[in-house]
Amino acid sequence: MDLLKIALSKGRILTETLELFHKVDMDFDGVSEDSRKLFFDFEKYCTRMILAKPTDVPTYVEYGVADIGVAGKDVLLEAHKDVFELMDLKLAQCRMVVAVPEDQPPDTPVYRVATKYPRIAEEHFVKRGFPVEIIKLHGSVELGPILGLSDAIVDIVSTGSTLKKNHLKILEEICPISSRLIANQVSFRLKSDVIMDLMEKLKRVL
Amino acid sequence: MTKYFRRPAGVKDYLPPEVRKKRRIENIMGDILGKWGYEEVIAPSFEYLDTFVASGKPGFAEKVFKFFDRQGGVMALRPDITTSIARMVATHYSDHDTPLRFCYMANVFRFRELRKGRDQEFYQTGAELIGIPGIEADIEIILLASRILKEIGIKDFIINVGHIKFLEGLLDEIDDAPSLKDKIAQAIKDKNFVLLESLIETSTLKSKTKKTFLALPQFYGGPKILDELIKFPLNEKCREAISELERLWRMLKGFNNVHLTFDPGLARGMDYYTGIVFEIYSPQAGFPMGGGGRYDTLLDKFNGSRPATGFALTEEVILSVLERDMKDNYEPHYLYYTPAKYIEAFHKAEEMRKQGYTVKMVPSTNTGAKL
Repeated sequence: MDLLKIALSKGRILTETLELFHKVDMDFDGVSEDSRKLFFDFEKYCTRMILAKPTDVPTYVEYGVADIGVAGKDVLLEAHKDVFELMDLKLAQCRMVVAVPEDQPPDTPVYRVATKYPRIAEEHFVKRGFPVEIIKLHGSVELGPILGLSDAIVDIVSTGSTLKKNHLKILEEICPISSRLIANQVSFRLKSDVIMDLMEKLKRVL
Repeated sequence: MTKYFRRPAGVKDYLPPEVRKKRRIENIMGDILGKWGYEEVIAPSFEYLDTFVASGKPGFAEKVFKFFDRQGGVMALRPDITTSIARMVATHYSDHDTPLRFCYMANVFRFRELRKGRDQEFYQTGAELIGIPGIEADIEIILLASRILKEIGIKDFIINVGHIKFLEGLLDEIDDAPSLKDKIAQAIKDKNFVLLESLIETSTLKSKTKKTFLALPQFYGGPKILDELIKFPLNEKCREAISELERLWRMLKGFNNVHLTFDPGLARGMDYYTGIVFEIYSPQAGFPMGGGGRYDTLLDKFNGSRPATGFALTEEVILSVLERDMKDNYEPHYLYYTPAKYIEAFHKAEEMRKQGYTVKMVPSTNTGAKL
């Protein structure tokens, strides 16, 4: 039988994802970033686990080289891929926010925004009715306001401690973020029995 | 300094081995289409933007390549062929009352800035059956698409059928909240079940309506799903759509090699569809191989009201499925000549060509050079 190919995001979220599968009695022992292997076959569950960079998960799923995947809503919003969003797995829950320096007085206009998520940031500010200049960074966006590169940042926040350490405060919340189960449009139809079955099981433990 | 030439994203060079494969499937497709009475038409590469846009919803104009003519009119490269055929029929066949059958093989253009790596120019082979309102026209189109796929060597595929009236019927239930209706329609179209669920749950819809919408993700499967569906508290429009799908199933189930599944929530990319719609999937491709459906109101726009249905297959996806099994059996003969004896060699080449060989002439100074 054809394996169900599942793309998982590497990093912090991997452990949480595997725990969730454990709860529905699917133990993917040995799936780990420490291993040099990038995919793992489990004949027992008719499954192939593929480890990918979080931002690449929707791409693998869109092209159908993975049937389904687990990807953060932040990545999905930023990438706009043609994939089906099946379920909120409620993993890695956090928020997408606009943050500004702590000492910034209220109603100070924002002109420049540093972010890893240029599309989300731009859409947010366009809806607000004022266009801003977006500066794309690849990490440590908190540096933006500190070094005077930007007035604000758009980033994901879970506890808020990184913000605090860098003397930033949340100005507004854009949207909640969590991990989603996504599917390729063709696989969702051709392997609907297996995928629906998995969704049923996951629904029961969420 | 060396100047480098780049190719724009999303367009493709077809080199001879690929062209041979492409033409081979096109010949088979053309042959079948011809036998079924579909006559080929060639649509203009560009038309006024208005021709395409009124058939689309807001946001559609962003997906087409636009430019200006000398008078400043806005032109668009064709994003599909169906719209042009609808216009042609309304213009040239306004007093025909027998059914019309047309087919085409053509490149279309869609702007996909968001999705680098996906083709912005791609090739479609399609057929349109105009003038038959009955379900037998939808059946002919589905059978024709299946026959073509089979003849070009695709064994394993399913045809997933939906009905636009079912979706419209569902959405009629939320008529009193237009902005919510649009959001829900979009979520269903994108198959964003997470968004759909949160929109429904936070809404003030009646609980039976909520129940139907929340069950939508499960509305997919074999013909059994139609019996399941009818148990939901649906309005007349939805019920009519389901009974039409049932009739389609009853008429098609005798064809052993047509594998149908049903997905009443299926929405297609172009939004001129009005009735039965379908998409075709292969386990070897991540994108649909093609699709189509009924578009009974598209011709109204060009003042030539006629019921119509049709399909289009995407050649790139089909070729990617066939690629592994398709061999390129190109075997030309090389005839080497010395320039002094060129005419003699030419006559020899002609003689061989008459016998059916492919002959390429090469100056013999080139012997040993890489061909």
